[in-house]
Amino acid sequence: MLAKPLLDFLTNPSRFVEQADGARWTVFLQLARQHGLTARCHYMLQSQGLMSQVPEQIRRHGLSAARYSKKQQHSLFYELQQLEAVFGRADFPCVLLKGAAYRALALPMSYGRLFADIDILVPKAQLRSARDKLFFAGFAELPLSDYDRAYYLTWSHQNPPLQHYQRGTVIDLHHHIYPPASAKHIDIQVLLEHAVPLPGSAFLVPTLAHLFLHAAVHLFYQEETHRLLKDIFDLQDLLNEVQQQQQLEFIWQQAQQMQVQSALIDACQVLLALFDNQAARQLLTQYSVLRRQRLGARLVLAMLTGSGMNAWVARQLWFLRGHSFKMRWHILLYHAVAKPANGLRQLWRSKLKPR
Amino acid sequence: MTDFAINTAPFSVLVSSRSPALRKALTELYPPSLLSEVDDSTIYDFTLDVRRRWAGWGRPFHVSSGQQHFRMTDKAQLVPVFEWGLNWCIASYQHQYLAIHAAVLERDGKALILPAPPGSGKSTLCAVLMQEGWRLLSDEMCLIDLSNGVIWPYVRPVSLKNQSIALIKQWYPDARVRQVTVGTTKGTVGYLLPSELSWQAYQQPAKAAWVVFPQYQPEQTELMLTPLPKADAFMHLAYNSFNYNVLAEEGFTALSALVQQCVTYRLEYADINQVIRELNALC
Repeated sequence: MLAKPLLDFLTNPSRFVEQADGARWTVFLQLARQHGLTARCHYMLQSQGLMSQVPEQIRRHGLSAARYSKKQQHSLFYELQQLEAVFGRADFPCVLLKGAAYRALALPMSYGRLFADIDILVPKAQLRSARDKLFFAGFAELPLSDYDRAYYLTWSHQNPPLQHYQRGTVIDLHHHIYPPASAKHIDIQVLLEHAVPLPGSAFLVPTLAHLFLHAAVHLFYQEETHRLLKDIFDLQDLLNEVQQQQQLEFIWQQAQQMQVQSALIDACQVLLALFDNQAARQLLTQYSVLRRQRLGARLVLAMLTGSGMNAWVARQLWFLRGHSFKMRWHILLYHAVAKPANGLRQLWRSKLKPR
Repeated sequence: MTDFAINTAPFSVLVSSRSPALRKALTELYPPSLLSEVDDSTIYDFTLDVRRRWAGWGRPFHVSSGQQHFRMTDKAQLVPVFEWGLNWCIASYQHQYLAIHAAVLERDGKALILPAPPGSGKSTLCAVLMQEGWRLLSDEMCLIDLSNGVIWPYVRPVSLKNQSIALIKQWYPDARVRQVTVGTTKGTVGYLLPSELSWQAYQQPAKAAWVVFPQYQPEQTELMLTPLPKADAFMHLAYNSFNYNVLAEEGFTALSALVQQCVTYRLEYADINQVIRELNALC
C-alpha cells in the first residue's frame, strides 16, 4: 500500500534512517504530512538518538512540524483551563477522552500529536446539563438541519459538535464511546466507574486500559481508513503504557465486561504482526488467541502491507464490515429513504411550493 | 508520466504530471538551471501531482499533494493554479521561518520589506522596484530566519494581476511578462520574470533594514511617507504574518528584533515615479 515507507519508518526508524535515499525521504515527508505524523516522527528521532544521522532538510521540516504541534498543545491546555471553570461544580463525572486525555496525562505519545477537537464523555442522563453548561460558556452547535440534529441525538453517541463563538474551539460531547444504535452493545459503565480524577482538576481520565480499549473500538468497529496508520501507532504506544502500568490482566477483564474483546484481540494481533509488540504477545498467549488471526486484524494488515490487489479487496471488505457493525441494515435502510425524502420536502417548502 | 523538479530555494518541489504542457509552460517561468529531471538522491520538500481525471466536463486537471486535493482546473488555467497550489503547500509547513505576507527586495545587502494585504499595490510596486534594479527576494513571502533574523529569498515569478500587467508593460517595455491567463478567480493573471540578478542570488540572504507599508491612494496628489512608531509596525507585521501565532515566544522575539533593526514607514502614493524617487533617496 501507499503508506509503506511511513510504516517502515514507524516500525524501525533506525533501519529507515540508515537505508533511506533522497527519493525515500521525499515520499516520507509527503506521507508524514498527509497522516499528521511529522512532529511525532521528529520526537521519535529525537528520543531514539537518531537526529544526527538525519539529513538537515528533514530535520528542518520536523522542527517546523514540532513548532506547530507545540502551539496546538498550548491551545489545548488553554482550552482545558477555560473548561475547568465550566465543569468545576458539575455533580456528575466529566471524562476526557482520546487526545485531550493523553495530553492531560502527559503520555509520551501526546508529544507531537495534532488535535482537532476536545472529546468529553458524560453520563447519558447528564448530557443535557453538560450541554447547557457549555452553552452558557459560549459553545453552540454549528448550524444543522433538523434531520441531521435528530440523527445525532437519536442514533449517534454524541451531541452535535459544539463550537466556541469566539475561539472556534470544537467540543465533541459524548454520552457513549460508540453509537448505541449499532449492532454492538458496549457497556461503558466500568469505564466511568474506574475513571481517575486529575489532580487539581474538575476532569477525570479513563485508566490506560480503558483508553486503549476505546482507541481499539474506535479503529476496529468502523469503516474508515484515512487515519489507519496514525490510529495503529496510537495503539502501539498505548499498549506499551498499559504494560508499564501493569494493567494487562485488568485490560482483558475490562474488555470482557465491556464486551469488546474482539477489538482488543484484533488490536493485539495487528501490533504483534507489525511491531512485534511483547505486551500483545503476552496477552494473546495467555488467553490462547495467538494462532488464528481474526478477520479484522487480517484486513488491517492486508491494507497496510498487502500488494495492490489484496489491499484493494481488503479495503472493500473493511468498508462492508465496518458498516455492518455501525449501523444495522434496517436503520441504514430507513435513513437511505428518509434523508432524501426529507431533502425533497425541504426543497418543496422553500422553493417549489406555490405561494 | 513526465515527472520533473523545480529546484528553487529554500523549498524545492517534485511535480508529477501527465501533461507535457505544464512543464513546457513552466520553462517560460523558471530558468533552465532550476528545472530538472527527478534525481533519486535529492530530497524534495514538497510534491505536487497534476493529473488528468474525468470529473464532469471542462475541468480535467486535478492539482493535489498526495491525498490532499487542492483544486480542479482546465488546461488554460493550469499555470496559475499550479503556482497557487505550490503556495498552498508551503503555507502550512513553513514554521522553520517567521513568514510574513510581504514583498522583499534588496540593495547593497540591505532588505526592504513591503508588507501589505492584497489590493494595496504591493506586487506592482515590487515589480517596479525590481525593474529599477533592486534584487527580488520574494513578491509574496518574507521568510525570517528564527535563529539569526536574516531574510531568506524565495525567488519565484512575480504574479501580476489585472491592470498592473498593462501598467508594467507600459512603464517597462522590456519587462518579460509571461503566461498571461484571463478569467481566473483572481481575474487576469500574468507572471513577470525575476531579473537575472535575482535568480543568480536565489540562495543569498539579506539583512532587514526598512519596513514600508504601502497603500495605493488614487486620489492622492503628493506622496506621503510617514514614520511609523515601532510598536505599530510590530502589530501590523504580526497581523500580516502567516504564522506569528504559531511560533509563540520565538515569533515574538524574532519580530521584535526585526522591528528594532529597521526603519519603519507608512507610504501613501498615487504616482509611481514619486515612489521610485522617494525610496531611492530613503534607501
